[in-house]
Formats: sequence, C-alpha cells, structure tokens
Amino acid sequence: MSLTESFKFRRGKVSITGDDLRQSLVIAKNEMRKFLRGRKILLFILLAALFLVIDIALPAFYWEEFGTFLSTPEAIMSWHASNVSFIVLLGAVLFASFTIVSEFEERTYLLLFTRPVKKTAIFVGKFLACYVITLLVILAFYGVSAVHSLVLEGAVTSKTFTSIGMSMAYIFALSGLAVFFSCISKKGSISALMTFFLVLMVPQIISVILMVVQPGGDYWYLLNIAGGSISSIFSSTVQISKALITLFLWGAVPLVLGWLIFLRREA
Amino acid sequence: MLTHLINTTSGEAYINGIDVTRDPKAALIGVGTVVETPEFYTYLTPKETFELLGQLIGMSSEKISAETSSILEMVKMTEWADKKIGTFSKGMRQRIALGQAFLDEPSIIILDEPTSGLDPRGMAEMRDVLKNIGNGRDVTVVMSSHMLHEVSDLCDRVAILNHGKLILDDTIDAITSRSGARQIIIKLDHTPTTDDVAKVAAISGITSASRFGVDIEAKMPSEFARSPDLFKAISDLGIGAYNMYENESLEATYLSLIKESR
Repeated sequence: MSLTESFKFRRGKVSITGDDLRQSLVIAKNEMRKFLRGRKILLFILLAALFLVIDIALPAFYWEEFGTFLSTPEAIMSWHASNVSFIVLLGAVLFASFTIVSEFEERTYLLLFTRPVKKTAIFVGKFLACYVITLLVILAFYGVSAVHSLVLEGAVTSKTFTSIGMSMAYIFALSGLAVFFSCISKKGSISALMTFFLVLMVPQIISVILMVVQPGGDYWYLLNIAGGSISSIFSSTVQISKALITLFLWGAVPLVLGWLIFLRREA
Repeated sequence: MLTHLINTTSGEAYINGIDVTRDPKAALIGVGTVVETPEFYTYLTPKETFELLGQLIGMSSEKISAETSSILEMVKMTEWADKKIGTFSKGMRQRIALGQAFLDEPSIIILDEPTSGLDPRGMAEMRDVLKNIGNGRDVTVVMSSHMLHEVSDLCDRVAILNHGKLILDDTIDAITSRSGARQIIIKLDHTPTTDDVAKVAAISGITSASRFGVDIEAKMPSEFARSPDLFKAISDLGIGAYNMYENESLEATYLSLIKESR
C-alpha cells in the first residue's frame, strides 16, 4: 500500500489523501513566503511590539502607580495577556481575512485552481499558514512578556502555558471567522473590515445588551467572554474546557461554512 | 469547465478518459493550462513560480530545476529567471504563463484566449512562441479563441461552437476549401486600375477578380490556388504584382455556419 493510499479515507464525496496533505503544506509554505515578503508582517510585528513597549514602559516610568498592581508574576503576565486578544484580531484581519479572496481579486486563482489540486487542499494550506504566522508572533509576545516577568519578579507563572493554549484556541476562532469572511467577500478590504468590526464590536454590543437585560448572567458562549479567559486565567478561576470548546466552535463553524462556500465559488 | 474553474450544472467532460466533473484532480494530471491572462504571485520570480507549481504537482527538485531552464529558454525569458514577476509587462507574464503550462511534460495543453488583453507587441511575441510549442513534443494543444486569423495561423484542426453546440469539427484545410473556392489577395506597386483587374480576371483558372481596397482579390477553385502556375501567370501579366497571399476564408466559413445555424 502506497503512502498516499494509506492516508486515504472517504466521507461521501469528500476524500483526503496523503498527496492532498502534501499539497496543503506546499500551499502553506508559499502563503508563509507571501506573508514574510510582504509589508503586512512588518506592520503586525510593529503593532505587537508597540503593545509590548507600552506594557513595559508604563510600569517602568510610573512604578509608584503600577508597583502594587504588578506585584506578582501572575499580575505581570495578566497585564501583558490582556492585549493578546487584540493582537490576534490584528493577525486575523491582516492575514486570514485576505487569504482566499486575494486569489480571486488578484486573479492568481487562474494559475492555482487549474492545477491538479483539490480546493480543500488549498483551503487547508491557506488556513494553516494564517494560523501559524499569527501564532508565531503571539508566541514571541509571550516570550518577551515572560522575560519581563522574570526581570521584575524573578519568576514566570506556569499559568502562562494555559494562557498560551487559550490564545491558540482564540487564534483558531478568529482565523476561522476571518477565513469565512474571506470566502464570501469580493474584495479583501471588505473582508478585513467585516472581520475587524464584527469581531471587535458585535460580541461587545451583544454582551452589554445581555448584561443589561439579565445582569449577573454567565455568558461563557460569547466570543469576547471566552477570549477574555486568555488574561483572566491569571487572576480568577476559569472553566478552561468550556472556554476551549466555545472558542473551537466559534472557529470551526464558520470555517466549515467558508470551506463549503469556497468549494462552490467561481470567479 | 474542463479546467474546473466553473462548476457544471449537468453533463460530463472527459480529459484522457477521466471525467473532470467527478474527479478534477485526476483529470487534470498531465494537463497544462493558460486561462486568459492569469496573474502571478508578484513576490515570486519565474524560477520560484515554477518551483511552487512543480512541487504542487509532485515533481522532484532536480526535474523542476532541469525543466525550468529549458522552458524559460523556449518562452525566451531566461534572462528574467530571477527577477520578481511583479516588474514584468503583460506580454512577459503571458509567456511565463505559457511556460508553466509545460511543466512536467503534459500530454495536453489548454489555452483559453492566450493572447487576449495583450498589446500588439505582446500578441506578436506570444504568437511567435505558440507557433513552435509543438516542435519536438508529443503534446495536444487545445486553444480557444475568437481571433480567427490567429486560429488559422496556429491550429491545424478547428471546432466551432455556437450557443454551446458543436457546429463544425474539421481540419483547417478541409474547412477553408469547404466552399470549393479560395480567395487570393494580390498586392501591386500601385493602386490597381480597371485594366489590371481585367487582366487578372482573364487568367485561365481564375473565376473572378475585383478591387479589394488598394489590392486585387481573385477567386478560384481550391486546387488552382495551390498551383505554382498561378504565381507565374500573375508575374507574367506585368502589372507590378509584388506579393500575394490567401485571404482569410475561415472567417467566411464561420460567418456562413453561424448564419445557417440560426
């Protein structure tokens, strides 16, 4: 049995083979190269670095105000992690929201889609690249934050790893949503705006309305509440599995819908 | 539909015996395509583009490297191999598009309006490359075009579709001699006079002659149009003829077929 056949499985009309996975990696590699050679990655790194600089500089210059507040490794990591969800959103807007629509907008689909490669392999490869590029920047952000914690308090809390796990789930959720908008949009700019405003504002508005209507309720299923556990994990008890499942569903549902639309999409 | 860019609503389409509507990936193996004027990843060079597409279709690094050199030479882009495609003109990009279609020695190449959107220079360059793509290769080239002069210049077999129905499928020679008559354009070193036209019409074998702009158009049976005697007869007239060529008859055939099928 060949490697290709050994990987093969079928579910109705959809099949994935080892060769499809290999092609997905080729697509992902090229997509990463596109990101790394483009300006967006510079902007993304710059914005992430800006958050770090502010997070480090503020306590340094105003220690009297921040000293009591940042007195434990947990508090320092929570201080930094409170920015992670916004940085992830920037990553989703800059990369995932453009990844599919750009093929149509820039007419490169005429080159890629006419090759013996399944659209599913293209979809998987592109999503993978968007996920990895955002994750790498987030990991670097956590790395610098951990060094800051070491410098100030001489220790890094083990909850950092849980927070990273939550961030990974949040990246999946936002990338899934952004890829969905990328699949339904005619223009990358529209997809990016939809991702930014719908993810940033709509969950906030819904949660405010819900809190007014029913104060004190547990709205764990909202994207912003589940995403908030990235930083709240350091200071309070969080139902990790519930938050992880919520974030997974927030990513998986639009991702599957986007994939189905992409399969049928013509120029 | 053949290149799986458009989903079919019904029917089947086979490439090398594989239904592209059922298994597009398998059907497109061994098929190179150029659909209109595709855009490229502008951050890549031609070499990197061929590497990406070669890897995608499962070619080894050695084979990609070897084929890249020969293909770039074929499409006359060797000196641009390491330049970013973003800096290329449309004509240059189209030559790269044609080149990528040759990766992995395809048995079929599908060209959809390969010169559409190109400027005259780009068209001429592209046509020059297209004329020689079959040389020394065991490849079937399927080209779709609305430019009939280009079709008669490049193709040896033509299929005409009208409203989705095949109304003709034959060789160029058979199509152009369908009516049994051919038109030859004769160019003179001066504007033709009535006397010049009459002299041409009087040549044995020519059925009629008339002014055609600043030239003379002569009609004759197909077999006579290919006779060396025709050249001699026109030269002997002493009317200042310096060039003659066959007028586009594919267009006439096309128009008459479209008219018939309405």
